[in-house]
Amino acid sequence: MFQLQDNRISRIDLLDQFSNPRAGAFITFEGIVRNHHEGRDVAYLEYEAHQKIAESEGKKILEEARESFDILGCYAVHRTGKLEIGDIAVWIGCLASHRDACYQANRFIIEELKTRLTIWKKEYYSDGTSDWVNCKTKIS
Amino acid sequence: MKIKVTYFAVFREKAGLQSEEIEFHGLSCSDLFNQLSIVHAFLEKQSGCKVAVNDNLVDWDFKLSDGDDILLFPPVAGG
Repeated sequence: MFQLQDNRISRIDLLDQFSNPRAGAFITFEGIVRNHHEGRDVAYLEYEAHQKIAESEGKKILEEARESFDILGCYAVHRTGKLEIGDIAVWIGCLASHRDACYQANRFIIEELKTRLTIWKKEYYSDGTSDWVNCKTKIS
Repeated sequence: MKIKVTYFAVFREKAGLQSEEIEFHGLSCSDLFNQLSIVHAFLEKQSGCKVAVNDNLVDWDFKLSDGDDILLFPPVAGG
């Protein structure tokens, strides 16, 4: 299951969804908002998304992971809206009988999410400027 | 043909508008991107951007039709 949400991601709530007696491995990845980027002090950031297409692509990515790797399940959540330093921006959980497939699936999912989801990140810096990440335009 | 273009993120800020209806005389999404890059001074490479027509992601050589609703996406940055 994939979802976008504009409120805080709670890892505790997410962990409750994973339970399978066949599982021997459970791998999670959390993308965290850090306070620096390319030498600049980040104060907070905002994610903008085209929700319909982002959710459609997210579901496709999870389906591809299930087809490509020997896993029992996978789940991903991506934030939108304003995030503070330390907030979870993206959370991915994979469950499998063995760790190797679990690690591979989790890595596959985050790399695909980063390049395929219609989501954009704008960083706001402590000096009052802001910038779209991956874009060249500086906006004060 | 008359089409509607909606901009996102840095494209919206550069264009100074959320969306617009334009008269388009080209054929493909690639033609449209090139035209709009000149009009709005977009610097992003087409290969790093995405386009959707009527809510479906399409390739840049997709042929446009009168009344199409185009979503123009700058390079994404999820994660």
